[in-house]
Amino acid sequence: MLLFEKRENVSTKLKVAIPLISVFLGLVAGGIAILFTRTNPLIVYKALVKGAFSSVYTFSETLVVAIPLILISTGLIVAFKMNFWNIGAYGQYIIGAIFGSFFALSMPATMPRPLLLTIMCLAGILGGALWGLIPAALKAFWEVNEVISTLLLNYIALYILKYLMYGPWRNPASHGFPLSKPFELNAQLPRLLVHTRVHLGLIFGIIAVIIVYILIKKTKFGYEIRVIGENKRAARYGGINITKNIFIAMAISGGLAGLAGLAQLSGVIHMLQIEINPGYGYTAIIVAWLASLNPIIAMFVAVIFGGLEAGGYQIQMAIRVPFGIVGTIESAVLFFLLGGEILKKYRIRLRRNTS
Amino acid sequence: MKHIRPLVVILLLIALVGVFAGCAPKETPEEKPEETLKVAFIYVGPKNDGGWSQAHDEGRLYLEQQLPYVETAYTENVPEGAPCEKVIRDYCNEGYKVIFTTSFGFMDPTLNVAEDYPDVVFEHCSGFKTSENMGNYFGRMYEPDYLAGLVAGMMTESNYIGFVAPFSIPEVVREIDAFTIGAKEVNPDVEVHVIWTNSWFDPVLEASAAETFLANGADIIASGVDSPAALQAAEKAGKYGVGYDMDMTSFAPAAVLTSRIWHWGLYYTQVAQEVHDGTWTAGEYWDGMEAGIVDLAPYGPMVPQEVQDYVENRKQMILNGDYDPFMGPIYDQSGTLRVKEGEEVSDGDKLGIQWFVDGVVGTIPEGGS
Repeated sequence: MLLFEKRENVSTKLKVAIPLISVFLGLVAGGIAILFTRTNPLIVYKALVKGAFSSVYTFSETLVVAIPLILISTGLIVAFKMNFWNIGAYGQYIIGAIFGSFFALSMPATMPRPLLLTIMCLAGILGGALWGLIPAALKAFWEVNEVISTLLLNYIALYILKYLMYGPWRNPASHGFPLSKPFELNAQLPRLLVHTRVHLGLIFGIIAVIIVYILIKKTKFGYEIRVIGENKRAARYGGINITKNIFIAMAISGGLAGLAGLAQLSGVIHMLQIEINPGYGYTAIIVAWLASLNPIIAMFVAVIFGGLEAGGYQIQMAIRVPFGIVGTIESAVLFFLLGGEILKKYRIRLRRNTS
Repeated sequence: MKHIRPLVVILLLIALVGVFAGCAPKETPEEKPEETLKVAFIYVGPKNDGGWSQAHDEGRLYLEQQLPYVETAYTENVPEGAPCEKVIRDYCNEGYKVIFTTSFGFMDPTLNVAEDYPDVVFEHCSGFKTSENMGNYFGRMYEPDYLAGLVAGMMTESNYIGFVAPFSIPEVVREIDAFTIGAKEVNPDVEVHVIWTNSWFDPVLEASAAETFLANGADIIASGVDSPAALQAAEKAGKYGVGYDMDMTSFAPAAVLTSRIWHWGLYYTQVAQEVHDGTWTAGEYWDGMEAGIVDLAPYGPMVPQEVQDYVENRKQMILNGDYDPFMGPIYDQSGTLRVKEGEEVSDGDKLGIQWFVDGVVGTIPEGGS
């Protein structure tokens, strides 16, 4: 009989070895899949690394993907710390993008750029925060399971976006296609480097990471959500206001996801449309977990995930492997990493059935 | 300090990856003969989707065959959002000199990249924006659409034809209109019903749209979407279908009456040749059957000879320039005369068409501000 025993202390050796072995096994498993396409896996992996990290250009594209992942995962960490399972970054991202777009589309092109961008960013944060507060209220007042409510709100957000794009916000000049008017220059986040798409959102991400890090480590709020996360009952006995903390945590979590959505539109896509990559809201959950809910580590994990996506497209270009291979490699690495997480927490023992 | 350790892990990982990449023998840049022209293609669906993207990929292979100095690459399944712009940029960065982006939604991303890479030639399919170094191209698919409408109009018994359509953009509205004009010409009682899938490539949705039509009495399914799924649904129900993009007979041999098909390779070869010769300029290409870019695929065995004769006669008239499906009189859905006898819809109006002709059952969603 297989037994999972909780480890009391995790040794440093294990902490280092398990993720390394996991990634290695993931690459081996992905490599087996690649072999089926009659391609040398080593060539594919080399192209992946090269496509993600080998030049200023490729690394800049990696960062472009990392920006939303950093912002969202940092926000998620706040909610996850108090065991509030926010699966709704997807929807908060969309609503943030919609709120910010409202100003991008309705303000005159002559409005000073810093002013408009400030308004848009605040609107993005507000939109995401409001969308995050709905499940917070449902949880605080009626004990509605937040996994269900945040997940379902994602679909509602997507349909609101679709309604706007097929209805009132569709650009008449788009010939019926569901696209908004393009953002004017004053509604576009400035780029950090010429000839790349890395935009100001990266700075937002770094600032968010620092603030959230301090918030969790050094403030009363951070202390309280950690206590709630570890033992809700004890927190209540200790006089911690759980309802208030749920609201604050979800406002931060949703707000950062909303900012990520707005930054993606204003920094990369430059118009509102249906395909605005809200799927980063799910990827960021994995990023937050792999970083053990530490925002600084999450920043680096986000860059690695950005590299996987950016490099993934390059593989297709450099070597003619089918599109599905990229997803297979990503999933294989992820699968083993998550499996490794279990081994880190539990010891597996084989025991004869005594009965 | 507890959290420093995972950080170390990640830094180690990065270092490992770096070493791994560094150890690999430095790739000596392959010295290509100076003449090689690198041409890239971006597809919205899988290159073997059995329709739209596959037709473009066949064009790519044709191009490779025709011009020995051309080297091609492609990326498939590219979403019409931020990733698309990245893929286009990747190709520019890898030294590709001609880039074909083959979906409507790639238009603005293509334009964005074109601004940053003035030395690269961009060609966008099915859109309406151009710039100094970005042209667009499409074909007068409405000619084969009209001919296919003739076939369907004569073959239907229930007078209910279902048209599975992607987006309500002019390209598709024009298709449905031309198809209906053909069907109505030979069968005044026919109705062409429309369902929007709001997606280019979604075989599941396409099949379920077809099944909805079939359940409501349709005996012919016309496809305007990227996969053959709708036709396969028709075949399963023992009904007929009209294919799109490429000859779809092999996917539903018992159902396909004919298909409206693209021969993109002709245009791809033309562009590559012009770029090679230094004569390329950004333009708006929109040729019809006479140029070979569009055509009607061979008829299925169930199409009687007299139907074929009628359609071939019309086809010849179009090829001779004696006939255009959008010649008046044309009534719209509400019965209003839109185009008078002896008049013809102008190219500009065809390109922006946003109204259905008489005989279409369906609505075009209203646009916003």
